[in-house]
Amino acid sequence: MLRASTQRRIGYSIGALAAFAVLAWMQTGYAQALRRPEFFDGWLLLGGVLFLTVFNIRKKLSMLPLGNARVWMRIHIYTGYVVFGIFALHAGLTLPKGALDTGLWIVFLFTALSGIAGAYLSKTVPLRLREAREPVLLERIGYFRRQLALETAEIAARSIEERGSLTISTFYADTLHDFMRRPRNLLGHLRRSNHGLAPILAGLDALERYVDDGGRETLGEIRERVMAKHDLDFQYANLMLLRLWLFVHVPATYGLLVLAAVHVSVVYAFSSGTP
Amino acid sequence: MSEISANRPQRWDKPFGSREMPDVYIDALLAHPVFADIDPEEFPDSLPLREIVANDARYRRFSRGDILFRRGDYGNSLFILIKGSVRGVDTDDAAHAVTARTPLRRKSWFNALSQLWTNSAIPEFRESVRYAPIDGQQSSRSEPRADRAFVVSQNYVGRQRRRTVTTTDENGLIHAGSYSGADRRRGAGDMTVTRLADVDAVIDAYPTFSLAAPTMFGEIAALSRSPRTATVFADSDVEVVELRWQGLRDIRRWSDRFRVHIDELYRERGLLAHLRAAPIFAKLDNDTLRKIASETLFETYGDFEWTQHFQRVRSREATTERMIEHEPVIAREGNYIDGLLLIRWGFARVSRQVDNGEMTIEYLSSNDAFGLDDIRSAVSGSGDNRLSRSLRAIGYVDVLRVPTRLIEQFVLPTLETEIEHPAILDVANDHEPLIDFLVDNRIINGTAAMVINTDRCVNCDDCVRACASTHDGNPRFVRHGIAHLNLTVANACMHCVDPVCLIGCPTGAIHRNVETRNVIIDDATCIGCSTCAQSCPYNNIRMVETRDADGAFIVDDENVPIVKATKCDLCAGQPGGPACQRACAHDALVRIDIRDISHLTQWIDQ
Repeated sequence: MLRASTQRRIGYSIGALAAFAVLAWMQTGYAQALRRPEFFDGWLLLGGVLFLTVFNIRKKLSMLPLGNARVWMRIHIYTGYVVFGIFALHAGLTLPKGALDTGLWIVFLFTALSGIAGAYLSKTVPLRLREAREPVLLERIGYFRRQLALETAEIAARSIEERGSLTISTFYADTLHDFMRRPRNLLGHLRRSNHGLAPILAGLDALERYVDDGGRETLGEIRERVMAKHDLDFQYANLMLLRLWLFVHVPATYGLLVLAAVHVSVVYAFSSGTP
Repeated sequence: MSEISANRPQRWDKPFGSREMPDVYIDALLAHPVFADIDPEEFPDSLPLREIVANDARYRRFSRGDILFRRGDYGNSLFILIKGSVRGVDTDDAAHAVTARTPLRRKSWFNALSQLWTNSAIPEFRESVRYAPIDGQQSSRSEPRADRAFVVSQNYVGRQRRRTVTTTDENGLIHAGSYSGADRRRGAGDMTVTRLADVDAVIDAYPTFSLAAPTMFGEIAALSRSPRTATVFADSDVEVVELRWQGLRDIRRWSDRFRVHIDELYRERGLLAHLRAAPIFAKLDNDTLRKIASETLFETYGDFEWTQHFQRVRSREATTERMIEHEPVIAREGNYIDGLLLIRWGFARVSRQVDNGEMTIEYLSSNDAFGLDDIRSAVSGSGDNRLSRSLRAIGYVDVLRVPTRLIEQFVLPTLETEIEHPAILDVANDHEPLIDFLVDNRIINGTAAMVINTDRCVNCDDCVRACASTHDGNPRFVRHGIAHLNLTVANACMHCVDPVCLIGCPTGAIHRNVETRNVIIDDATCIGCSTCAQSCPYNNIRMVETRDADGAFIVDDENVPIVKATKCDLCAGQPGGPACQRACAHDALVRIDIRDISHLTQWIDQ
């Protein structure tokens, strides 16, 4: 027995394929009627893109009973696939000619691919975030990071007073201070790499031989905070990725709409007016 | 920005009635047999009996056929019958027949949409005109105007045009209400009265019970924060005093005689209705139920105000074993089966001994039975007359103990082979740690808990924005909370089965909505005492500092900001229900009744 989500995906996929097949058949019929099919699929494409933007409007009108956003999201994604197919019909499989059409072609592909990437990230990044030691809200990460940095600085300073040794504080000043004060190794976190953490932990391990038992305790406290900071960076990198892709996808959509409007104007300006 | 000074709201600023009850009614009430034995000397100087009655009680008159309250309403008051008689119906079909519920009043689409441009940019904005100005201080913003809450409630009245009428009786008591025209309704707000079209037809068609002055009723719902068990209507011209829950609590607390009297009534009147409501007794006739009621024991376990104890324990001890240790045992595994236990109110944990620990099997709530399988096994000869599981009180629990002999004689022959909770037991086998989590953290109390699946949540905050858009720009939950594996139960009001936040509210600002049964805070009535926020064991009520139109804090004469209690109201009045759930594009957030655990696990597994 298939899971409900799998059944749903199959259903939507079949629906999208069927819709595309019907539209492609209609486009063929349009050509067979000796009319210019690029007008048909062009308007279809523009209509499809406009429909896709409605999802963003729906998100802003959450006070109205316009249906669940999850259904809108599914419709948005699968309509996106259909629109991608219509784009292939409209633009053909060759590269466009002219600056305007090339620009439009690139922006469309960029928008579509950023959307697909977003759908992929929305499914995978939350699962990746399971590895976080303790989930933290994105807005709270800065606060916790500052707190950890402050605590680490205090521990390092205390080690001078209590042990009369500069070993730990020097390591803090040379290595830890920069690591603790801002997000580090963000790209590495997206690759699940511990590249940034390993040298710091190795450095802390190396100090063990120079300090007494009390100093080792201090190093343990610092290590705990370094791990917590590393965990915060991991969450920050992934949460920011989830948030930033929309800042790519949505502006690209606006750019697409502007270029599409120019494209339509140019087409009608230089056409015979008989689609 | 300049701050607006106003008098700090206090308890009894807003009496239960339209104003303090006049002396003539207070005297009449205190001479009533129910109150005559109460010794005013038992009350502390800071809380005199007369003041409680003056402010927490209101005098009401009804004509024949007027409905005083309806079965299923979440009432928070007790009625003392001064004059006349009332009748009640306590079966579902009869209550349904005589109760024409008003449809939920929601905002129109345009009103909902207009929140886009009418929501305040200032956090926690309140109209400062709602607060009385400090003497001598004149401000154009402080001129008295209609209470905003009243205006809003009028907007919600519906499409039918209503006209407001105010009358004053011979004692100066104000009766305000609005008339909606041709229908049978009159009144306004909680003074709204629905009248039966044909009282005699109802009496002929359905079994009713009758109560005549002097007596009191409604104590069951008032004491247990539970739905009314009957619909009660006036059988003649009736005069009653309605005592709200806060006053009842205080009188019951300080007067021993009143407490004994009211507890006796509570036991005497509620039992039959509760037995009748239990599915296990569904096939029994009234005579049999009466026989069972006559031999049923009424027991209570745990603390009525259990949350403080729970909060202390939870902050100290995290493990299930330790939590169980603090839960009073109602029935212990291995003990002799002396009866069927029926949960009348509250929650109970069913567990089984495994080596040195207790494994939680399931949890029971109102009308669930415990021990039926063991009784059945004993009767069939396959059992040994001992309990195979333990039952513990989670918080405060009312239990009815029905002797085994009666179950054998009357109940078992009517039952088929089903077990007590087949669905829950199936789920328990697959999700035992989840059940432990839900029980240990008392999440089982939630009828609309906000559960977030972190495997699907992309932290987009669309839910938070949606919430803010329906609450004047202020989100009413925090997308964070206690977690179990990939589930987070967010800090959003769960609209509990046992809403302990209602305990202690001095003004009744936090209340059950009669129609939706959601727990709502009336902002206009809230005095910002924080009692509800401190009572909520889940930290789901936030106290906020209010601001005026300039963004300045509204402060009292001591320059202390006036605060209000705020929480999720499940988007009451908005079209379409909770915006948070509808706004989630990733199916990561759901508002769910935790008692329906199979629904929860289905949602998790999908």
